Amino acid sequence: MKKIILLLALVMALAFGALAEDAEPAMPAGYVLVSTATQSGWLPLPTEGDSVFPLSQVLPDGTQALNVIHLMPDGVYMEDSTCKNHDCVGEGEVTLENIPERVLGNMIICLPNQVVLQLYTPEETMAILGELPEIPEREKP
Amino acid sequence: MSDTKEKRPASRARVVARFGLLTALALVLGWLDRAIPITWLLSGAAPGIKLGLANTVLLYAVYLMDWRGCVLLMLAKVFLSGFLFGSMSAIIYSLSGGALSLVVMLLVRRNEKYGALAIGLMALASDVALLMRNSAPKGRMLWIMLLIAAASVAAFAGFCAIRKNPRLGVLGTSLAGAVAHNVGQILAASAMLRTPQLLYTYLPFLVGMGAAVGCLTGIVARRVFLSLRAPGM
Repeated sequence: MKKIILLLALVMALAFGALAEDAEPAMPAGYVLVSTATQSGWLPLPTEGDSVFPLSQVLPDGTQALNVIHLMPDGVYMEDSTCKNHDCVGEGEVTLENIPERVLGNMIICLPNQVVLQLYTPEETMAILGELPEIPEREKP
Repeated sequence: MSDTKEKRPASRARVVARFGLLTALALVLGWLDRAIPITWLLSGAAPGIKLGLANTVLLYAVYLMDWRGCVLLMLAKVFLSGFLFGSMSAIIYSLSGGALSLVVMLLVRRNEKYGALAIGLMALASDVALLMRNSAPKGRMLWIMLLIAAASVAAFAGFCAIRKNPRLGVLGTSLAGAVAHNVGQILAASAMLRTPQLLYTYLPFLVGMGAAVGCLTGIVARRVFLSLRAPGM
C-alpha cells in the first residue's frame, strides 16, 4: 500500500513538473514593428540569446537593399545596412530601458532604404494590434 | 523687377554673376555641411542635423534677389547637390525642406521680429514637450534640452534686439528658415516612410535644434552682410 501511494505521488509530481514547464513558455520582452516602403510586420524579441534578421528588399527605384536587424532579448539594433550614410547603424541600440534617453525614442530609421524599426512592449503591442503577434508566421515583413 | 534694391542699375551680367556665385557657394557649403559631423558632436544618435551653412546662402538670396531668383537658386542647389552627392530620395527631402524654408523666409523677411518671436515660442514648446516625455533627463538628453532652452532664450533676445534695431533682422529670418527647413524635411520623411509617429517623436527635437542652429547661422549671416555692406541691411 505504501509503495502504491509513493508511486502515485511520484507520478503526480512528474505530471505537475511537466505541466509547469508547459505553462510557462518564455514570453518575449517586446516586439519590433518593422516597416519598409511597401510592407510592415512584427518581430518578437528572442527569449534567449541574440538573433539576426536579414531584411532584403527591392527599393522603389530598383536597387537591392539589405538591412541586418540584430535582435537581443531586451532590445534591437541595426547591425549592418547597404545604405550610403549608415545613420541607422550609428543610431545604436533601442532597449526597453533606454527609450526616454534616446533622441529617436523607440525608433531606428534607415532613410535611404526606407526602413523603420519601432520597439514596443507587449502591452503597447496589444494596444496597437489588439493581439500579440504570432511568432513565426507574421515575422517576415 | 530684379535688384530694384540696388543702388546701381543691375546689369544682366551682374545678376548672372551673382547667381553663379551663390550657386557655387551653396554647393561648397553643402559639402562642408556633410563634412562637419555636428550630429555626433552635439547629440550622438540623431540623424539629419546639420549646421545648415548651405541654407545661409538662401538667406542671403532672400535679401539680395527677388523671389523668382530665390526659387531658381533653391532648385539649382537642391538638384545639383542631389545629383552630385545624394540620391533621388535625398533630393525629395532637400526639396521639401528647401521649399518650405524659402517660403517662410520670404514671408518673414517683411516681419523679421515676429519670425524670431515665433521660433522662440516654438523652441520653448519643444523643450516642454521633450521634458514631458522625459522628466528627469540625464547625459546627452540633458545637454540637448539645455541647448534648446538656450536657443529659445536667444530667439526671444533676438526678438527684443530686432525691435530695437531693425538692422539685426536677418537673425529672425535665419531662425525661421532653419526651423522651417527641418520641419519640411521631417514632413517629407514621415510621408515617404508612412510613419506619422516620426513627427511626434522627432519634431520637438528638430524644431529645437533648428532654433539653435538658426541662431548661429543668423549671427554668421549678420557678419557677412556687414562685410558685404549689402543694400537694405
